[in-house]
Amino acid sequence: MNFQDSAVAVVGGGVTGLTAAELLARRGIAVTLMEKSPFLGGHAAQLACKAIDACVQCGACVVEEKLRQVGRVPGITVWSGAHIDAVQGTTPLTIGYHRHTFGVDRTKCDGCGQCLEHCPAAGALVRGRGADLMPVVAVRRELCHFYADESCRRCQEACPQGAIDLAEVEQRGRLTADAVLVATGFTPFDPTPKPYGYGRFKNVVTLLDLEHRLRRQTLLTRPSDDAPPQRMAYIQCVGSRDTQLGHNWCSQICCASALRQARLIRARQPQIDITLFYIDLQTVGQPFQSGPDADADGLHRVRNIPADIIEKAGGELAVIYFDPRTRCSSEDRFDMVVLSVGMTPAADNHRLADHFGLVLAESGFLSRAPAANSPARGIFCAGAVQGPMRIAESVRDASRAAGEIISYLSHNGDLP
Amino acid sequence: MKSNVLIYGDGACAHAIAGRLSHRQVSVCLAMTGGAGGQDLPAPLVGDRPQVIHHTRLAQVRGTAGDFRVRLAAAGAMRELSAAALVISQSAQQQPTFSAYGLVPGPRVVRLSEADQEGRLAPNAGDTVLLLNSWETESHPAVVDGLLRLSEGLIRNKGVRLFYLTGNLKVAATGLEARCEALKAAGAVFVKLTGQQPSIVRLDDGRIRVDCTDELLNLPLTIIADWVVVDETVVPNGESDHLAPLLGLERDAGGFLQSGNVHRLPHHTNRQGIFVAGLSRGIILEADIETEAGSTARAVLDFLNTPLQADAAAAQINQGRCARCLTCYRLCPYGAVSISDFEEGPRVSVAAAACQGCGICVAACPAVAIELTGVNGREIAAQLAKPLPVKTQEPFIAAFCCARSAEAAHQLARTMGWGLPTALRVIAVPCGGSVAVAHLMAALEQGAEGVLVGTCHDGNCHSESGNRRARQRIAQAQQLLTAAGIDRRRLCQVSLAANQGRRFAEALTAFQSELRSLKA
Amino acid sequence: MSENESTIETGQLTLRRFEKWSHHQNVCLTCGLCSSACPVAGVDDFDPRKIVRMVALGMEQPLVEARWPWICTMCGKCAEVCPMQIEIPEIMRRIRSLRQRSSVPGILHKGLAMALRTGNNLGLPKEDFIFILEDVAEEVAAEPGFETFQVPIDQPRARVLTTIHNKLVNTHTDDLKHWWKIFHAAGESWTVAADNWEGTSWGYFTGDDEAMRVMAGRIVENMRRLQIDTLMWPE
Repeated sequence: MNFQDSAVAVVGGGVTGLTAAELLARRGIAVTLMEKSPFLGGHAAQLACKAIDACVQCGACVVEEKLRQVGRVPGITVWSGAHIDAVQGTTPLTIGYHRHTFGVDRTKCDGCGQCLEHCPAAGALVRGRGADLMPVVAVRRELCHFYADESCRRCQEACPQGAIDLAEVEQRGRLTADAVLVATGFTPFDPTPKPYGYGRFKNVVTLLDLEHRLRRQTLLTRPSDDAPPQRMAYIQCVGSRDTQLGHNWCSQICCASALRQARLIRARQPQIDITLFYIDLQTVGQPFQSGPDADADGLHRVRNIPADIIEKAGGELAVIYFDPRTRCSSEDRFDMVVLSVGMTPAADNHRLADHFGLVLAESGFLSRAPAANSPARGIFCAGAVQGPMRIAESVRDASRAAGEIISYLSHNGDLP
Repeated sequence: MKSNVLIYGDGACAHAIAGRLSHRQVSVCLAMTGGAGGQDLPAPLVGDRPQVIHHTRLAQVRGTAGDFRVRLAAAGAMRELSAAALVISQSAQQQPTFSAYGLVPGPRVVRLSEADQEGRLAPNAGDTVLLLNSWETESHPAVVDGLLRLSEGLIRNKGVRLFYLTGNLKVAATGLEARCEALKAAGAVFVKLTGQQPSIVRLDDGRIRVDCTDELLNLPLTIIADWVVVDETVVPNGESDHLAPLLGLERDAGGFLQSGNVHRLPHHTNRQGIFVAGLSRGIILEADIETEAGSTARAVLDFLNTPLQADAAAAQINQGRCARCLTCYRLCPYGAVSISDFEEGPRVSVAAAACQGCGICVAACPAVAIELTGVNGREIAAQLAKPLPVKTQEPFIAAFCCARSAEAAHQLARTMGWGLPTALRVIAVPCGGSVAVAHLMAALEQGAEGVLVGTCHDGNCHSESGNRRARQRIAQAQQLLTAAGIDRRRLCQVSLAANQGRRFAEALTAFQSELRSLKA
Repeated sequence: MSENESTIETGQLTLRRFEKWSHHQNVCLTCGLCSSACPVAGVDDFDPRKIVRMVALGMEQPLVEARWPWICTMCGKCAEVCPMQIEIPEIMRRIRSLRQRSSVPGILHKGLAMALRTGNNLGLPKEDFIFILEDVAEEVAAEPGFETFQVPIDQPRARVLTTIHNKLVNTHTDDLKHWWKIFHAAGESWTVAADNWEGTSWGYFTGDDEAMRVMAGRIVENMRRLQIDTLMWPE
């Protein structure tokens, strides 16, 4: 079957989109991979390897492999900073989009980082890897002073390659595709509204924040003063299993992530004391099914969720909870708390659903009901945009969707 | 390549894969151990109708990817088939857990998978039904899914009093949390046990009495159940013990026919052309079977539509030097080495279609009879001989890095500018296992002050054993060094994942410091 | 049969006893957030989860007889943190309402009964109430800057009607002065009612909905009588 004349747009450059793009391109299909952020890889690419003596099957290196594959396979065009404006027609579909290059010309940027040294606005410049995995810088408009009031051009002036043009204009255009795969993933729950001090207390972080730290550090330190923590706490189910928020689901990945992180930290820094506050521990999949004994990992487990965190003098965090063992209200001191935040629907799911004529479930994720989003007009969905999903399941779902798209294209647009 | 596929297995997943492949004009043979099913597979618009064989068992598999020769045992006779690809997709076994609760099966004590059977579980309105769902061991969402389905039927239709005892309630799958909430709202009582050992006894009238502590009230709780449903554990099909060696397949820690190695995801095995799906590869929820089938069908179609690897890209055995020791045959993780009979005697050869180019055989061959582009001695020597770009006083380190892990980590460190020693020569190899003792020695001979081998973490090596072999080779080489009076610390191994750029930089820097201290 | 009286035998439970209560009491996750948030958790073995559990199990008798439901301060923190939106304070009230009034602990019902009869928990006659207020008002007026202060009683069409907590005209009369001075300095137009001025709501607290309705009704009647739209009801 010859797919030389077929074109597919994959919306979302996380593990699902990357996997599907490579599987489609392998068959000769021209793929445009559209990602709204500056970098590919999504959330899964931000994870650290959590192997101790052996791999713990977290899947982080799978994403790394997909990134390299996408860079190598011919036929995939990667657009970062790409947003969908309108969708019309049915095989071929016409997708209106706009793109911006985050103020940086990637053909000129070599990731030297000089701009970063001159930038006065913390976080306005970020450095990652481009589609070819070479380092590249991107400007975040929401933090950049130039985009606020044109008051600063220091990065542009400092760049030795002349790669920065803050006044760059968005490109608008129309893309034609025979099929589209919506693989836009999820948003991690923002725990700021919870009474845990996230955003106010420096040493209260989320699981993802901790992954970022573990990528950069072999020996964990705490954000406030870069000293190693002595007593850490994990609080599970933050933003999940919560009908008050409208999130009556288990996010499926947080218990495994917390356990992997905690075990890794204790393996490297055994003097750190770690307590896990939980409701029901979800130990699904490798390596937990037949993994180490619960008690052997040295973590303290408390089967209750704390209600408050108060910062004390010196930055100590007082965690207030009801101890089911002593049946008393307790206040324990920690110097670092990790909130195991869940997966929530991405904020732009509604907009995407409108554009593509997709149905949302009550949860806000794309509906998985059999008749709801069955591919019509050549529009397919895959991955965590449909609900919480592990990396292994996302890869499988991408494979499933790629198969459906190939089948659809083989039948000249008719659904088999 | 022919486009015929043998699917081996009973159950919904095998059936769904057969239907999908057949629809895509693949010639399908569905071989089942049982006697039922497969009749309703749709005939494709073009091509052969799927063939269904019942009451059969896989007896032998020869050949290689693209050209498997299979023998199926059926009714005392053997059937021969050829297939380009094999799909193993059997149903799993549900094992009852009666003994874990001190119970035996009986009129009032039923296991989950039998609870639906006519007459097995027949409560009257007002009867107490107790579900036991593991507290000393961890259950699984797939089992909870089944227990919830049973509970939903009971509480809706029968008006029973339902109690659900569990340790950690496994809700980590789509919809389970919402279903538990609905059951509770309908009056089901969940009792959570944390480190408790409830007492479970059978009363004279056949009812079951459970004594435990309600952890919310901190009061003793006694449940006298008219009916008890015990949960099950899901274990691989009983034939897996037989199939794994037959097919040369790896198994995971639970015995399923797919290693837990993330490189195998979603449906690959260590053998090219042999796919594993559904409950043959792990505990899969019923709701995910269609996705599983679709994903497998795509993988198989992709395989059928991709030209097989050319001979030149695979490992080549020089027949003149080969001593027929069969070391390569035993070591190959991919089952790519075969022995065949010729007039001159047995001949060992590498099937190009199956070879994954790991180079383990090359490094292990005592006769140095195997060649593979990229890991041959002279290619390695040439790389080592290249002058370093910068003249430096730093100790020269040669690093053999697995392309999938350490080399990727090296690239990450380099592109992000995380401090690497300048006197560093990185040689990419397909697998840590392809690094021979000779390579390590060659590096030292070429002036390296230290040699590092960067491999994948245990359980993450694509060749499963490559990193272990690398450690063995280093140990062997270190013995040689010690005998020659050279410090053994000049050789080391580090295990890494592809995303551990920082760790790579740290390991190299630490190695460099150590070498400097040795110099002094 | 159980040797221990407090053993729960599920066979004896009337699981559906509180079926009609729509406070989501059955869907408790056992997360413990309510217990963690509760300011009196652990006091006399109190734990809001216990109440939720006992309601879910239909344990009416122990609930009515237990001390636990009366330890709750009705602060509402539990409801705020509960991920399953269980209306724990509402449950507390309803359990309290199940007790015979004569068994309501302490002076709670006695004070309420007095208020139903006389308009305030103390049974303080109207003249005495007015006398106390005016007496304190004189003390305020004696302070520099407050010479024109007068306590407005039954002032029609004032902007704000306020209730009075009975302790302010009993043991803590000085506490009247602070907010009176603030209102005066702000130029606020306010008043208290001479009858049915009681601000405590022990009908709410003891789960006596009928009494709560009567007490609230009297306040509303005052508002109508005095033609005032805004009520300040500190408790």
